[in-house]
Amino acid sequence: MDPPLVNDSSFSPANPSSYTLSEIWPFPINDAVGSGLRLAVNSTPSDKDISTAAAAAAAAEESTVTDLTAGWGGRKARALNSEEDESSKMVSLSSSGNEVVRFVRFCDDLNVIVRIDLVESVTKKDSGDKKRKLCGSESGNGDGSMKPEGETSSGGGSKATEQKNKPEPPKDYIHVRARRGQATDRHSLAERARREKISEKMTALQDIIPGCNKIIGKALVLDEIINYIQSLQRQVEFLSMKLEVVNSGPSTGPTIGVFPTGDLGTLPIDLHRNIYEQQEANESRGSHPEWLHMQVDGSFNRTT
Amino acid sequence: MERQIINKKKRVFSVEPNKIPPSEVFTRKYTSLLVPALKKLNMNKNSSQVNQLTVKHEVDMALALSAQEFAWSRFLLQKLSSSNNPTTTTSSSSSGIRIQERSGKEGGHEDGEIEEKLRELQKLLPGGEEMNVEEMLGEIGNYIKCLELQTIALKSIVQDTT
Repeated sequence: MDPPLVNDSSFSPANPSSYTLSEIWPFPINDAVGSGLRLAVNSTPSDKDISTAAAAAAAAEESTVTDLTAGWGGRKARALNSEEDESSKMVSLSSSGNEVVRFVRFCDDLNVIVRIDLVESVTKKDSGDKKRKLCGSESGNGDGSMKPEGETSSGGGSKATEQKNKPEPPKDYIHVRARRGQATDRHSLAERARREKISEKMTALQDIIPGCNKIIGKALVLDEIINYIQSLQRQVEFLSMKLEVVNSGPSTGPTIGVFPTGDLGTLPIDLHRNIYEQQEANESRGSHPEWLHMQVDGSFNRTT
Repeated sequence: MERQIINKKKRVFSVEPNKIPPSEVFTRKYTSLLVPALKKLNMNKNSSQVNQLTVKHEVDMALALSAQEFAWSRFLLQKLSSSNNPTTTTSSSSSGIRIQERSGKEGGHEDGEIEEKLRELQKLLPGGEEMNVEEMLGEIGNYIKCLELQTIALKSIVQDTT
């Protein structure tokens, strides 16, 4: 059911740096398709959808890439137009998955965005109705359709589709990118919101922890946080051990002289002064107090 | 309003002159809890007690009681009270809430690392394993602050008594 049109033997992975369209796409491309490809390339910048333009621009970085991706995009755009049925989309998703992955493997020098998006498009099951309509407007020069219905392609492409003769990937890479940036699905929106909250908190933590501002990357920042907390806890442990030594009175402790227990009662007065001095010294270093006020204020108000 | 002029560090909270910055609040509570407890410990020194454990215990207890606004202090109290009764088992299950750190932009193995680190972080925070990621990240922030304040307080106590 899934004709492996793109099979390993047809590619030469030994030299990935130079691919021409004919090498990668083993099917003869007639003028109609070729012109379709070029037209697709030319029409994308004029599209109003920013993401598609960006994707096209990104794809246009390499000349060999441009044709490929435009061809890919054009083809998929046409296919996208033609597909209205959800179930058939699923079918083509699954069947195009293999093809996409194989295609990706042998085009290592292609635009990374394309690669990721292709795979992403296969795994994503979001419906991009908005994007489909946009796509429909841009690729009026499309090839034939996979299905008899919903056919928007102008003439000249039917030969190419027959030559392609396989379920075309239903999602244009351009539109996958758009979809990723603007998640239309409720779940992915919620997921995105959650992720943003988490990264917000991570940046807030970065402000607290000294020396974390320069670090980029969640993993490293988390490392720093873990180390910092561990060192703080060790400090507390150490201090409490010292306190135990101090507290146990004159009978133990090597360096402590006579320590009248009555002094403990007068501690708080001096203690607070010391503590505030130390705190101020610390606060001059960083923005700690602001943070604490910011985060804690709501709850601390209850106690003051 | 006088406070604004006197100490600009406290200016943030001195719009209403009765407000005290939370770091002060915490420190005051902490020292006022810990010092009498230590005094009591000192008095009871002659009775046979395991001093080290109790001092640590008091330290932790003071921390938890001084920061009762936070979720982690509840868990800390639970742990402390349960450690007094070794028969009761604390729910320290690490199979609490799994962290799903699914990021579309990173590779799969990187997600695993981050998840691991978050789990480790959860272990550090008292009660962290029962929280979800967002909550935990927020709690970690104020836990760190309280730890810092605690170390300052402890240092001062030790200093003053040596």
